[in-house]
Amino acid sequence: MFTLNVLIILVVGGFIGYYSPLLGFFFSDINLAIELAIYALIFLVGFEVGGSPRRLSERLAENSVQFTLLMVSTVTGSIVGSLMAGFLFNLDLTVSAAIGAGFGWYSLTGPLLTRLISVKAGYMGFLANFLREIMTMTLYPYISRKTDPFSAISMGGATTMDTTLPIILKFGSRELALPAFLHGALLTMAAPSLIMFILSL
Amino acid sequence: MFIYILFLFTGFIVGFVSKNWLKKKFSIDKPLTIIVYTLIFLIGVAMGKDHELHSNFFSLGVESIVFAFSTVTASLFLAFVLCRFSRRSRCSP
Repeated sequence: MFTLNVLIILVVGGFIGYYSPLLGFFFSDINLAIELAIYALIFLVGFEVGGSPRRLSERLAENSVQFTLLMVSTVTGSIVGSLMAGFLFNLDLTVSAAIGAGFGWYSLTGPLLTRLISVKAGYMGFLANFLREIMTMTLYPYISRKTDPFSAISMGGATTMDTTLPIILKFGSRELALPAFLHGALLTMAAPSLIMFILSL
Repeated sequence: MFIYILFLFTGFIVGFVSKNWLKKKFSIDKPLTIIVYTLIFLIGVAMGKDHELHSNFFSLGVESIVFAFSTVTASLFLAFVLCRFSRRSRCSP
């Protein structure tokens, strides 16, 4: 339902933007509006994590080694994978790496790249990360059954703390709730700084 | 970059300080959903306004599919390799 809403809102926004000569008065400074919304989004994420730091740290300590390997896999794999794709299409490698560093968080990566690089980069950042979420939702059940449900959490990136968590619980196991949530929460905290850092290189 | 970290850190501090009373009265679910929808809408508007993007819409879409596929595949591959490297018969904690 959420995914459908996202698609509908995106298309409606696209139509309004396309006919912006008529509605240009309302959307003349789109970058400023995007930037303010990003600030609000990042503040709320900090607020949510700040409200339960002890619970998070206790949970983290319980599964530290396996969990650290999972985090390393997701961060390295996402950035290396996007660099390979960028190399294949002869794209700017810092922008390519920044797309991967979104870890599936399309509502951040798209606007951030639109604001900082270009609408084209923002479109790719949005779509690549949106598709990552869709791929996790559709392929996790199959991949977790054929291989290892814990390692397969890696494919979801930052989305494993919310949108893809129910899929992981349903098709993996209830024991995976903790590492999947933490995996997503830490990547969500890291993504904005990492994208900015990569783009500054 | 610093202003993003500042907002993240400020949110963390406000959440940490107010966890006992504000979180009982205030859920971030609704405001978070509204902000996410607003951002999606705004990026849609930005895409609609960009006429250069329209001419490359489908080729960029294909590139985005490859990006999604390669990030997922590389993450999964590394996760499986590191899991085996850690010498546990089963990787789940």
